[in-house]
Amino acid sequence: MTNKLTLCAPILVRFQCRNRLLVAGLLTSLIGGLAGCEKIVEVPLPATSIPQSMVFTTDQEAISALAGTYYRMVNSNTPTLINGGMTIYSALASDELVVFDKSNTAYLQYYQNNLQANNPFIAYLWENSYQLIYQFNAILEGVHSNHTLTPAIQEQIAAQAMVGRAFIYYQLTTLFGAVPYITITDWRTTTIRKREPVERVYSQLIADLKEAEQRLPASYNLITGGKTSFNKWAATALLARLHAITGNWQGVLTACDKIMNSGDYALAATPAGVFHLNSPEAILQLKQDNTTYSFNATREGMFLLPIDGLFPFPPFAYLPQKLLLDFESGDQRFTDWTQSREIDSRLLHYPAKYKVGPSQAEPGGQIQEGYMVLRLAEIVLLRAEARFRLDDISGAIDDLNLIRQRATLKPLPTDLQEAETLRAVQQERRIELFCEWGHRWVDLNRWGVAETILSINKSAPVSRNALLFPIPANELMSNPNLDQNTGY
Amino acid sequence: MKTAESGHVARSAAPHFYTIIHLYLHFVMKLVISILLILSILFTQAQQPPPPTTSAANTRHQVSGKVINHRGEPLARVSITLRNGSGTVTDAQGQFTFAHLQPSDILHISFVGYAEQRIVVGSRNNLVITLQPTSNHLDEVVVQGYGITNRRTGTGNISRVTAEEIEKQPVINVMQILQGRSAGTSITNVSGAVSASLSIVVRGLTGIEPSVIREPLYIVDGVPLTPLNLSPVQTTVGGTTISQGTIQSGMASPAGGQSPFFNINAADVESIEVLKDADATAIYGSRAANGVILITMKKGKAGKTVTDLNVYTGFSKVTRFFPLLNTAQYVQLRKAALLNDGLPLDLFSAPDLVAWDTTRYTDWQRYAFGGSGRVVNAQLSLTGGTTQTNFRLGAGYNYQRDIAAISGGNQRGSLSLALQHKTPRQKLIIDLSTQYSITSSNLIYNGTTALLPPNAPAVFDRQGKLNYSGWTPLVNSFMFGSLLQPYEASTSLLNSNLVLTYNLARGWTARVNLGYNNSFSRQSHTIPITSLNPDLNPRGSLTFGRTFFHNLITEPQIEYTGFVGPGKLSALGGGTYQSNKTNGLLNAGSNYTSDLLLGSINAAPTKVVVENDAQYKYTGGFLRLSYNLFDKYVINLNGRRDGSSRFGAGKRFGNFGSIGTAWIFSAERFMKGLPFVSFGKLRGSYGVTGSDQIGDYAYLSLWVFGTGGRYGDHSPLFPTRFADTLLHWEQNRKLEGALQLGLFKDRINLEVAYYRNRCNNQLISLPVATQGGFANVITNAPANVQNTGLEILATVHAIRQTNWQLTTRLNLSVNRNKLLSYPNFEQSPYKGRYEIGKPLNIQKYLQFTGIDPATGEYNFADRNGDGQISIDLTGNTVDDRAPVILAPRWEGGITTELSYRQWSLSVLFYCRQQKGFNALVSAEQPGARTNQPTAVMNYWQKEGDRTTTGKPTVYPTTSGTNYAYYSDARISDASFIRLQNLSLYWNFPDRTLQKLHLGSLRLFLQGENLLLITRYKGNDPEVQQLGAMPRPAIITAGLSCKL
Repeated sequence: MTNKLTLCAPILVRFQCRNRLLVAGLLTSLIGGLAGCEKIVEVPLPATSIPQSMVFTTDQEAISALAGTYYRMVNSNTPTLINGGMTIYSALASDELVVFDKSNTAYLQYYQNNLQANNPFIAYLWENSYQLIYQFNAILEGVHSNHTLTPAIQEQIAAQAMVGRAFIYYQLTTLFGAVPYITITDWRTTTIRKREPVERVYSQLIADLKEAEQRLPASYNLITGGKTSFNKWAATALLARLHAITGNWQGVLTACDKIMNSGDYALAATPAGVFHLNSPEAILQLKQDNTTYSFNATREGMFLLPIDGLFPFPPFAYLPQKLLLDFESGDQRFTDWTQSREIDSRLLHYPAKYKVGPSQAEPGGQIQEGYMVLRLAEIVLLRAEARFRLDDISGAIDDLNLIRQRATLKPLPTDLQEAETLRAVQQERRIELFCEWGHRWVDLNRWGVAETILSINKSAPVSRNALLFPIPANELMSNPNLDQNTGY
Repeated sequence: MKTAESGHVARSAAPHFYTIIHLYLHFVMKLVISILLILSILFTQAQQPPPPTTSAANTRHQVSGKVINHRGEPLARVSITLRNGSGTVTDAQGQFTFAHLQPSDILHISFVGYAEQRIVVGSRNNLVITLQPTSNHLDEVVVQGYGITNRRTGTGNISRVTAEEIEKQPVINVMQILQGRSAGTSITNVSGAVSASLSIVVRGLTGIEPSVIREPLYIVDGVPLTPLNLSPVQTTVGGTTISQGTIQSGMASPAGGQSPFFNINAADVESIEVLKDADATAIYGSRAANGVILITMKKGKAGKTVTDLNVYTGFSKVTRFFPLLNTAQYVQLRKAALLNDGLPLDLFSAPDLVAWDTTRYTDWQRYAFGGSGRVVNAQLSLTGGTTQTNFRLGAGYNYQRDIAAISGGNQRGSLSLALQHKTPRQKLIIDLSTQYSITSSNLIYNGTTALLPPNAPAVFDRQGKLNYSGWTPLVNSFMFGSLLQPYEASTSLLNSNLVLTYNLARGWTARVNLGYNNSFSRQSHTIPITSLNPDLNPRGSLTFGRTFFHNLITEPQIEYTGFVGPGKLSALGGGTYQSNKTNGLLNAGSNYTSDLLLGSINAAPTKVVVENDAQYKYTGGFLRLSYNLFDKYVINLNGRRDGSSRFGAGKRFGNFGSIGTAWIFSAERFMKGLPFVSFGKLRGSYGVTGSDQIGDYAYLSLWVFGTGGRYGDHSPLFPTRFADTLLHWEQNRKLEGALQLGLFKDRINLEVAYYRNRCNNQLISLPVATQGGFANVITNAPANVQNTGLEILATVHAIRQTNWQLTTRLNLSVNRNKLLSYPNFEQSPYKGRYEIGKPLNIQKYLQFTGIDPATGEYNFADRNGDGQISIDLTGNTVDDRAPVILAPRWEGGITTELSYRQWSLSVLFYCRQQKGFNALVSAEQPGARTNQPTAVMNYWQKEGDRTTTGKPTVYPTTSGTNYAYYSDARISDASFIRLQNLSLYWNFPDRTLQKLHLGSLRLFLQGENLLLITRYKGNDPEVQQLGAMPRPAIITAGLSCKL
């Protein structure tokens, strides 16, 4: 630099005035500086956000990142996979709901088992699920690469993220079958991944859940506010579901026994009490943010309950006659979990497991109902099914009678035949878990009877291909490595 | 939850001044050393007087002189050329000296903006030369980047609109003036509201992905007017996303953003230059990819103090309505649809026919935009001063009430000051230009009410309350709650620029440009309980938005003009440092249980605060060398090295440059044989410009805290996006060739320009499979998009007499756009959307082949012959759609100015040839619960009917009607000729003026959009949406006088 300046000096001297020289020299050096200095164009980070690399450097922010996943799971106006979508869409697609407004084609496609790949709700389900998966992956990458976190907290955050991710993948596979299985955040790789066969996804999920089950405590101490986060038993309950779907009945039995023997949960005294906030049978109950409109209500409440008013608004969807007939007379669940409204001289029954609906929804409204994700009754029924599969018929009947008792139904005799027991297991699951988290849809598929049962119950042929939802059209457009399910 | 750090701005403002000082001390760049070197060498040469050429010394003598203008002000840097090409330039006092001249020598004196002169030296040795402002189109001043030029010797493509033209159009947003006046620039108003953002596209779409804002660089008197785009709200128009402008709070506006030019007083604007080719734009290097628009404000003039008053007022009205169904027709169509679908006429299938009165009729189209708007404009200015100090002081007030407005309207008050002072020996020149304005606009969110069923119930009930109950069971289609939900925005803008010019030595000038602008905008939107459906447990809400931006720019420059070798050299070296901060704050209060509390956000039971904040820094060094040989051959080189904070470390700097050449062939000897050609020039340029328009911090993956409540006791944190750490500059390569002709003593001026722009390494928001976590990532796409085009300009001075003058100006532009290449296109997300070699405006539609007389279904061509009609959006499977190009084929404007004695008339026609969406096929099929054009009454009723509309249905998917919306049945000719502007002036005769002691007095009538000639089937071929407000006609009358 100095050499060059000396070189220039004789030329510069030709400026006769020293001031001129000074002005010109100053200007030119300034101009030169502007053209090459990295420092000048460095800006401080915006005060309103945190770069990913800094999120996982403190316990508090790492927990906030995890809290973000729960928050996102339960607070969306439009149903997502985790927030009402599983319930509403798969209830329409199976034999649990009939959509009222036949001109509402986006919903009608589910009911008619005639889904189009460009159905807007499908795209939203998919996108929202993978946003959550990204956040879980980012959390896992973040807590593993930072060593400034308290080890116990670090371990628990990671384990909860693993359960959360497994939970979403499980739900996705029940709707879509094979899905891209993504466990990292690098977009150059993840956005072009192929779909992974269901069996491989399941074995990954089982491994993750087993590991998380070991690492998680039975308490809900990391995230404050009740049974609102994944604990040890949530991992175990999901393991039970995965064992059931993969036919490992011993695994189901072990998992269910662990939960039931823990003594942490008890069936609610009446069906009416099951969905209350802090229900004794809740293993996981997400809690909405009631500061914004409608989130003192669940999506189930908002969508399935009609609006009160002078004018009789029809419910969004109603229960088909076949399901109503499947309720035994005197079943308390019929009283507690369904309601009806006369529309145009037709009496329409609709599901009312949650009672806070559009007419009760208000910003800041008291939360009376938590969003039930995992509950003991399901575990009891899973154990009944496992016991049945493992030839413990009387054990299975005992479990079914726990549920029937609460519904004020006569207990079943313990000496049923095998076929009758199977029918009893299926019947109890149908009634106890109706319009809840797509249990019916998963069960029919799991039992391999979906095609026949749905075709009968809907009095219209339901094709085998319709048992898997289509991969959203936009995804196929953006990722050429994705393939579509058969028939779409 | 993090809250706004109030000290943030103050704390980090300090460091950049240190940075500047830091710079002075530490960075002397190679580039500049070389500039200095070159300039110094040239400088020394320029000092040499031309060497003696011939014969005896006693015939030679020293000649000195001075060049002044018509106001007596000395002119610096005027070039005085001898026949052999050598010459000199005047110094700061306008003085020049030649040591040895012969009496026969001819001095050629030329200066931008003044008529050139040739003077025979004779025996004089002291000359005073007075230059007169030019009236020749070719010699007029044209503002270019960091300087001025003219059309005669310029090497670039710059189109210019002047104050004279701006005066004629009663528009609030000065940018609207460009429509039909500047070739290759297309202007679209986002929403029809006068405060709305404008989409300004220079020479075609360059972005493969419409979701990234790609705007020209706007510079007002040397200061970029560019708020950072923080707002997550997006408004997309015609394939481009438009900046929300001065509203970056994250709060949406019914107008779709607010143009920063809403805050610029049109009457203070001297000229608008649109810089288009590489030669003109490359000096702005990295920000010039999408063109540059320079706005120059009016300046002071030495002389007697002149007061200028201009007042007009008028009204606006929509003149075109499209015939829609009346109630009887609507009911008939609906009943037919129900019958076809086998539905009963009951409350659930047809609530609009059962619950609503079927004899009621409202013309909802006229309800929506049948009213009239008002326009008021008042301007007062004072100019004057001495040769040493001059000024211009301007004050303006504009008011415009939109047709659809309920109250208030749009207002702007502005003040401007331009001040120039020169030291007695003209060493130092200080120019200050400042504008300040305050605007306000009151708006409401308008639903598409024009297409409501004609029998829809009244908006208000008998008690004057919103008629929600009357609309049951279709309360969801009651969209009039917004009538009672006022939105207000008020914005202040300060734009100020100080230029210090120091004349170092003859030909040498140092200049520092210090620019600053800031804007503060406040929005509020109130939703009272009374505006909501009482059945739905309503609660009131109040939202405030605040946007603050400030922008500082410093541009030191050093300039040299002089004679080097056989020609004249102009050299400019400079640097830029720009720092921009934008902060948007949104405060939403909700859950109000009483409307009385709505004024106070403190009283809100629930509050949400969202802050968006960004800072942008930009720096660069630039160099321009222009060499002019005998006024015949001109070469112009631009180079620029720029850095931007929008890229990660190591990717921040980019190099840009251009070369431009001009050959003024009319100066060649061989052209003497064609005397009618008074001027002829060929010019060409090639260069690379860039863009960093991707928003700030895009190279970082950021997490934000949720804006709502908590989860447990935890504030939830969310990731916001992917990050591409490899982000780098986008490049736009521009090639241009043009021919300019002046015929019959420049009575006819013609310019034909061809350009080819290629945009590569595009900065886009690439759609990716959401399985990764997000739907897109900001990255450089490998897309190479080409725009080629032809621009034809003609100016004809048909009559130039004292009493009669007739001038016609024409501009015509044709742009063709195509996706040139995209590596691995088949694997890209665009394969279903674009085709290599085809335009980006390509859209695919089924080919409608008519209504099946047997079934009443819409039939389409089965292009792939598989027996069914399929639409595939993914590009993976069969598709029966064919591409249709919806971009304008060509567009142009023709202005005719006629003056006769005291009268003058100016007429501007704007025309465009294009295809567009007609009103006959809409998203809602005939038979649905919306109104339809009367043309659908020719619907299919029974077998054998040959009709243009299919079988009515209430279900959009049960027949081909839904597919009709995806077919070319929607597309028809949308070409038009619009009488954009007509203005008529009458000047009072001089005798009257003398009596009244006035300098001038004129009365005028102006009309905007008075006539539309089109075959378009719909309301407005530019808006192309039935139900949206067509462009209204505006008629104003006023007077202006000079004291």
